[in-house]
Amino acid sequence: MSRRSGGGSVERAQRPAVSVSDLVKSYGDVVALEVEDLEIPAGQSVVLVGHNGSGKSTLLNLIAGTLDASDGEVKVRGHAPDSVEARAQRSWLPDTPVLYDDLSVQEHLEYTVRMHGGDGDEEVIDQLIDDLGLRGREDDLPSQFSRGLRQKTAAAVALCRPFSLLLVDEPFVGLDASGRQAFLDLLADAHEAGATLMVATHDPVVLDRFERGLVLDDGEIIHDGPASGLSKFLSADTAHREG
Amino acid sequence: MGTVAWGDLAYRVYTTALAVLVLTVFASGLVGDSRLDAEQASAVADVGPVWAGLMVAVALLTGVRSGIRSGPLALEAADVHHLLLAPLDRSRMLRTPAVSMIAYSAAGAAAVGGLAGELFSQRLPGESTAWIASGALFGATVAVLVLGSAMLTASRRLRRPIPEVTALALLAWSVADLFGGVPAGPLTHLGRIAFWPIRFEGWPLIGVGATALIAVAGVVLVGGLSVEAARRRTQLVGQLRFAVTQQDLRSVLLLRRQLAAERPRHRPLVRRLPAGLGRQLPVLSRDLQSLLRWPTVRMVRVTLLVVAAALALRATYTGTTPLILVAGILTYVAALDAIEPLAQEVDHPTMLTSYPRPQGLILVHHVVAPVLVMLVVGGVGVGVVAAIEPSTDVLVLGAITVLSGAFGAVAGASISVVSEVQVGDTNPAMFSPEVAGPRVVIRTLWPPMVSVIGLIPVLMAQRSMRAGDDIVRPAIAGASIAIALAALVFTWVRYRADLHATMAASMRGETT
Repeated sequence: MSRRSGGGSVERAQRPAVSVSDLVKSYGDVVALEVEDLEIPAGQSVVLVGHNGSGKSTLLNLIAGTLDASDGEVKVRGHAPDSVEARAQRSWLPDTPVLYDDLSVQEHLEYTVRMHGGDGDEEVIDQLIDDLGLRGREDDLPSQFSRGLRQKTAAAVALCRPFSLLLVDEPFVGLDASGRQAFLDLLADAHEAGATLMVATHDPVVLDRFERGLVLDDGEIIHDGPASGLSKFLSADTAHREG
Repeated sequence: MGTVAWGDLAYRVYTTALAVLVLTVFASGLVGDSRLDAEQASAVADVGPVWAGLMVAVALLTGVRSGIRSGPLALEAADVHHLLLAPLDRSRMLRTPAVSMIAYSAAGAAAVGGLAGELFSQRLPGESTAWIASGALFGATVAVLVLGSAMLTASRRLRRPIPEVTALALLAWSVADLFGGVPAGPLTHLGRIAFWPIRFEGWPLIGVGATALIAVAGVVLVGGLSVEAARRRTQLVGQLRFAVTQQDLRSVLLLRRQLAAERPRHRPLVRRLPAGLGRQLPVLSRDLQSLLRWPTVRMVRVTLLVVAAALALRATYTGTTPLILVAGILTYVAALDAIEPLAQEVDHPTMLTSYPRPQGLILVHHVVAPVLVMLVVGGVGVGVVAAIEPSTDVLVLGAITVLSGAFGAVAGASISVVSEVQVGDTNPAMFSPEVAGPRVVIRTLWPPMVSVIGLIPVLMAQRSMRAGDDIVRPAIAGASIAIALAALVFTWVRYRADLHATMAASMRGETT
């Protein structure tokens, strides 16, 4: 079991990574998301597509425990999303990098690892700094970085800790070609090590890297199937936006 | 930006004066314990101007630093975009807001100076009206000097290092005046104005004249300011005003730091902390890393605030009781800086909720480093007071007060920072005015009040000293009360989210 896949194999075999039932998120009269039933088996890689406002980020935020459900239930490995147990299993990379203003890249990674019970001097930290092209910037403050470098730092923070479920929202925004490739490789490594992936993206090129695809529209899942057949939905999404 | 809104200006001066009047009546009632004799008054006339001059020097340096960033004027974004880029004389356009700002600030500072004069008259010889008048003149002069220097600096007519070097030289001169052996500096002479009722000297008026000239030059030349800096300033000042209206102290602090271009040190003072500390106490280790990145200006500010608080407490102990409020507010403001690591955690809930540990436990671990900071700077404050008045009493009472004051100030700052976090579905915007009003008052007053309670050992020692009793025992009793209150606050920090969750569940009829 790799450091980046914290779930035990027995637990993984028994419990789905994510289970959702009768889930509703609404703001006043506006229903942002309504999902009757959804189960993501442990170890599966899932891509979420849909136009802006379709509910992808809302679904990920509900699983991440950063939004409260208006109705229904979300479970992460059988636990409530804001429980300590769920937090130990899940790593969350939101679309906007969230980083402290007063810590360097290296200090972010050490602190995150230690808060998850590690020593803070793991090889994985050095490896991530190299893989994401942050070598030479590890002692700098990300609060003074460009958007792309902040995104790389946030990715490193999300990947440095143990997890069995990785949630990622629009990961490629602001990344250059090498950063994007490096991040895709790291996602593949995490999946290979047994982690469940849920990634929301508008990028059609990466779809075939995932096993399963969910298409959302106006807060509902309108398609659930193999990821390889999702390109047509992204084309429709483009037409929808242009129309 | 066309004309000076004299009506608006008069109203603002009127409301400020009214507030100061109320404060004066309140504060005057609290003072008046013991009048100084002629010898003590003479000593005040010797030393007072030096301290007043030092205060002016610090204010002047602050003004010059503001001018470097195109302050103190805060223009509307549209004014910068449409008027400053128009083919018009910028100095003429900016003259009106510049004059308004100086006039209002001078009036406000005169009111505050008058209040200080009234307080001085309670313990020093001289007519109350003379003290109020000299205090008002001193206050107005300082305000005009600071703003005029800032505008002159912003005009970029003086090449870049000249304003800072001049302000720093004046500050150094004022510091040297404290130790004697050098001719009195120009700002010490200016400080004599505040003490005219006990020793009148005419030639500080030259300083008043020079101040007026600097202000006129600043107003006439302010059009030379940098448009780039003005644009940046407009955005921050707009957010700052909004944060103030929302009583969002944390945002005010962050925006003020951005306005002052106050960034964490690029390289920490100590490159690597012991790995063992990080393994055993990750939160404390993280917080110490953060503190080691403090910029020099923040270190100096926090130290000066606490030293000023220590001096105010010394005056409290010797008879000016209301100064304990000033000391409490100063330590509270210093603690708001010291508590930055906790505030960072609160500002980034996504990070906080990602750690597999109870959130309240993480938050309460963040108060350790700020308490250590306050203990260290508190020690500096006691050292300064002991240097002025070497005695065992100062050291013993100082040690007790530093301990309780550090806990009280950090507890007060913790309330302020943590209560910014909205828990559950509570939306303050939905509260009725009857609930929202008192809530705002409590949220604004309670944190500094906790900080003031942390300094209560000085007050209890003062009472015992007057009765001729031992001062240590009551001081320890006061410290115990303050530390117990701080412990309650930290318990609230630890369990606040859990309590809200339990209450919300019980309101929904769920059982846990």
